[in-house]
Formats: sequence, C-alpha cells, structure tokens
Amino acid sequence: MPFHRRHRPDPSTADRLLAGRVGADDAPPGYRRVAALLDEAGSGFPEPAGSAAAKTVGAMVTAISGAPAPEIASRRSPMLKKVLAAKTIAVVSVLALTASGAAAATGNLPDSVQDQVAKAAKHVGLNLPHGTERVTGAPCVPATPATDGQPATYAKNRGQYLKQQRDVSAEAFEEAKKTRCGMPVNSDGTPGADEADEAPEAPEAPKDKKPKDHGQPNGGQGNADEAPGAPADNPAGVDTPAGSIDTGSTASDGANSTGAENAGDGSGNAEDHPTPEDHPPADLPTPDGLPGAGS
Amino acid sequence: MTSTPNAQRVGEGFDDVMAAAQTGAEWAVAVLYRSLQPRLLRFLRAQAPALDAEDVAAQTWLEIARGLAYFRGDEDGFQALVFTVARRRLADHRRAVRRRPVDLVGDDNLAGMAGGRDPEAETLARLSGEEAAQLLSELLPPDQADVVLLRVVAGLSVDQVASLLGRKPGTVRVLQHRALRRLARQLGDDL
Repeated sequence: MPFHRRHRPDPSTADRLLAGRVGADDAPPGYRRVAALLDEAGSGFPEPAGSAAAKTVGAMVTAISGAPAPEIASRRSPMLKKVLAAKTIAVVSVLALTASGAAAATGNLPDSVQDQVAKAAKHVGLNLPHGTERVTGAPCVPATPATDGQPATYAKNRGQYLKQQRDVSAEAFEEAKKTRCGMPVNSDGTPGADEADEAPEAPEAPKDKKPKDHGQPNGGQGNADEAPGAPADNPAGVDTPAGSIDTGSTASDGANSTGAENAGDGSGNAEDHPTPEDHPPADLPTPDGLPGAGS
Repeated sequence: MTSTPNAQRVGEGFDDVMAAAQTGAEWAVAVLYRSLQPRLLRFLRAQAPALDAEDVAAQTWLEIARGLAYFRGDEDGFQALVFTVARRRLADHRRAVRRRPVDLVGDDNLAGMAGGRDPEAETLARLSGEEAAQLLSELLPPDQADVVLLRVVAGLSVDQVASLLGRKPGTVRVLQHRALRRLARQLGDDL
C-alpha cells in the first residue's frame, strides 16, 4: 500500500464536505471516499410511501384540530386575575379592618357607628369609647343658655348633666334622672351607654346616711355590695366573715336565733337581719355563752 | 418509489404553509410531512436499524402536530424541532428495547452474514443512501455519528446541531472533524 500523507481538511472544507457540497472529485487527498459516502448519505431521499404518508398526515390533522387553541395569554389570564383579585381583596380587607379598628379604638368613627361598635365590642370585653353625640335639646336643660349668636351648650355626658341638675335642686335632679339627657345617641335611638358607666357620683346626702335600700327585701338574692356581711346572704350562717358570729356550736345546731330565722324562710330582710351596727361587739356571742343558746 | 436528489424544502412559502398547517389544513400538513419525512426515516434507520423507524417517525410527527399551534420560527427552526423530537422518541425506544430485549435477527439471517461488512471491499457506488447512512453510523462512535448524521442526513447547521445536542458549536466542529479523519482512515485510499 503506497503511503499517502492524508490531508487534514480545514474547518471550511470539513463543513462543505458534511454539507454535501464537495464531490468526490473535488475532495482533498485521502477524503474522496469520505466525500462519496457523505454525498450518498445525504441524497437520494425516496418519496414517502403514499399509504403511510396519508395515514400519518390524517392523524396529524386530527391531532392539530383536537389541540387547544394557542391562546397562552388568555389561558393564563383568568388565573392571574383570580390571584390578583384575591390579593387585592385581602389587602383591602386588611387595610379596612386595620383602619376601622384604629378609628374605633380612638373614637373617630361617626357617632352612630362608634356607638354601635362600642356596644358590640363591650360584649367581647373591649372597652371602646362611645360616640360623642349626646342627647340634648328639650327637655334637657343646657349648661349655658343660648346667647346672641352663641348656641346653648349642654353637658358633655350623662354624669355631668346629672351633676349639673343635682346642683340646681333635688327636684331637678329627680327629673333629670327620668330623661335621657347626656346619654349617647345611638342609631337605633336607644341609650347605648350603660348607665352604670356614666352614673354620677352617689349623692352626698345619701352617703351620710345609712343606705335606705339596704335591707330591702330582695327575695333571698343577697347582694354583698348592698348589705355587706348581712346574714341574709348566708341563711345557713356559715363560712362568711360577717357570719362568723354563727360559727361554733350554733352553726351546727342552728341555735342562733338570727341564723335560724333566716334559714327558715330563706328570704333576706334588713329588718330581720341586723347589720353589725345592730349587734355591737359587746353582744357578740362567745363560745362560752351564746345569747339565746339553749333557749 | 421515486427518489429526489435532495429532500424537498418548502422554501419561500414556508410561512404560509406553516400558518395553514397550524389551522389544521391537510394539504399544508402534507407538505411539511413530505419535506422532512425522508430525511427523518433515514436518520432513524441509521441510528437504530433494529427499531421500527416508521413507527418512531409516526410518533414524532404526532408529537409535532400536538404542539404545532405553538410553533414560531422559520423552516430551519422547524427542521431542528422535528429532529429534536425524533431523537427524544428514539431514546425512549432504545430504553424500551433495553428493558425488553428482543432477538430481532434470526439465526438464518446471521448465517448469511458470515464475515461481516468490509468497508474497504465494498464499492461505495453500490451503496444506497440509506446504506451509506448506516455505514456512517457503524464506522463512527455514537457522539461523532450523531453529529455527522444530523449534519449530512438531517441537513442541520453546526449551530443547530450544537443547540440540539446541548453542546457548544466549537465542540460540534471538533467532533465532526474527528469523524472525518476517522472515516478517512477507515475507508482507506481514494477511489
């Protein structure tokens, strides 16, 4: 075999060889067979068989017709809209809740709304300010009467109004208590504020006296605030500090006259259940000798 | 069966043909199919003679048809797409064959192939195009055969082959250069 130094084709010749643009006669030395093989491999393509071609083309047309329309943007749009709508709603909701919550907490909502919110919040233990709009006008008495160009001013709240009227006279005070003057104006027209919230300080006069309502019949529903230490709260006469007078043997046998009486009918009555003032310490029973014991 | 010197290219009217094919016009689909099916079959048969190239080609075309509405590009791009899908289907078939090995060649056929093929002894002029493509595949390592077949049979450019194989164009040029030198060594002297 004669020695042939095989020519090394440059990139351009290699490209042309592979593209089938170099015939065997034009190929560099040592590459004529290669050129012929590549030329043969890249030419002489037969026409596709008619039946197979028709079958495949028919299947392709069916596949194309059955494929969804290429509306990529429109297919993505609904999902995008949903996501954006949900986000927008969420953001708006959070902002609205935050803003209205802050406004309610600071009492900046419209009065009628503020009253409703405060009323609703009170049910869940939140103490929000009520609206600033109060019941004024007749029959409410203004704090300062109207003058030329200056409208009348009214008490800021129920407490101030009652105090104002109490300073006038006892009759005016009683009349004031019958009105709704100074109460918050609610949308439903009912007093929104609990009167206990804004009740005026207890009148000084009753303070000086023993409360008259103490000892009023309460059907056995004793109230420690109203009658502290009253035996009516503890008909059996046990385990209350005030009722400690009934401890000892009297508690078990019911020999104590007051305890026995209270236990008998179960109703509290200040007349029947003397307060500690009615029983000076000197009269307190002692373990050694209880008044009425054994009688 | 008639043969054409080169696979027919759609040429200037490709955009119109593609637009019509995307709407499902049968004539346009047929034009696209006829322009590439011969190259596709030869490529598949050269790459895997044991496989049913017709079947793989049909699956390739069906997959192309399903995504045809989304295709945007020129004829070269469509050609690259077809061979990209074909290589994917080919890989699937090869995996399937590996899982289910089948003896496709009977003993009778093996008896008639004593001695195997001697490239130097064969006259290249007697080789058909399909046999030439298969010979290329047999003489070259898989990566070089891939490059050469895609360039010669599929008619793709270096850049297209590089993109299809996921390699750099320089790497493709090196591979094709090595393939040519290897073929030159294997095929021997000039004619």
